[in-house]
Amino acid sequence: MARRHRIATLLLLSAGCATQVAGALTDADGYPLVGNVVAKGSPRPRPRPPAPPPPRQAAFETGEAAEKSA
Amino acid sequence: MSGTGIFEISAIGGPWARRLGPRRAWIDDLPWDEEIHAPGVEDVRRVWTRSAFSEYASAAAFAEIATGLLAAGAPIDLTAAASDFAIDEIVHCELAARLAAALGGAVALDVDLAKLVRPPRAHAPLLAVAERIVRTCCVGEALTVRLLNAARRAAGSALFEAALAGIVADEAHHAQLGFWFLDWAEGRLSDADRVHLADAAAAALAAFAPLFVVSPSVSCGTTGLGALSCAEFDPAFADAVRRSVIRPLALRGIEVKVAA
Repeated sequence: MARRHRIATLLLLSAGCATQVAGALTDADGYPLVGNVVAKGSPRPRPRPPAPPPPRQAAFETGEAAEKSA
Repeated sequence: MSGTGIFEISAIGGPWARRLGPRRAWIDDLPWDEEIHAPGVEDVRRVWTRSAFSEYASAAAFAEIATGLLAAGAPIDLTAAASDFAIDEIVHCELAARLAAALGGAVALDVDLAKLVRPPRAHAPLLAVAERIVRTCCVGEALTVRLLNAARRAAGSALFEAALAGIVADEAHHAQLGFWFLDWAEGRLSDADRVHLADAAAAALAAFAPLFVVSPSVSCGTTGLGALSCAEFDPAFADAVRRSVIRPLALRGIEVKVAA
């Protein structure tokens, strides 16, 4: 039987826990502008929407809310 | 990630890293130990994060051009070059990511991987790939060469100047492929096809309009480390459109009409 490969990807680019999010430069239909003409530093980013809580925390909060309403 | 989300890139390593190794070796030889002074660091991190995504999208564009050239029965060496350019763009993508990291890290960039390349309006294989090539090579890459050269001259850093020089050297070939293709296809394209291609080029140019909107949300003052201020970017862009896009396309009977 063929051996399975142990996969460990190396993250080369990640914004981590940044609080703001910038948009890619796109045309009106959402396709990226052609080429690489992004040397101009515009436009500025907007606040990043809060990430949904991880499942365990969500379950806990749901449980807590259920207790309060009980 | 897949579809829409925050842009990330990763590498799997092993034989795949070794296979790519010779193509990306020059990145490791750049002067990464340089001390970087970045007054407008947020602007510049945004520029290099967006640059990583532009290169990623260009890799997709060349992969589709290679497929289109095969479908159109184009010369196989031209097709091989287009396929090879996808690798160039992937290497540039990694380089841009590393430059963003050197500046303190990438910014969160919202992207849609399901919309990396605008599909052509034409259906016939030759005209469809010609449309892709005019947009990507004759407009996008031709402008890229001029603007990244301006950014290289203003970089003010050995690391960023060398990185931009490496990217520009590749992009110059990417732009040339477009005009070589049009010269090969000259007798195969009709006058109506050339009008169609002129419209495609004009639409690609018109899509840059939001870059020139004057707004408080637009950062306009940073120059250096790959960024250009509006005062430097805007005239360089206008000059590149005239000299690197409109004029060489007109020489091939493709008369691009742009809004004043």
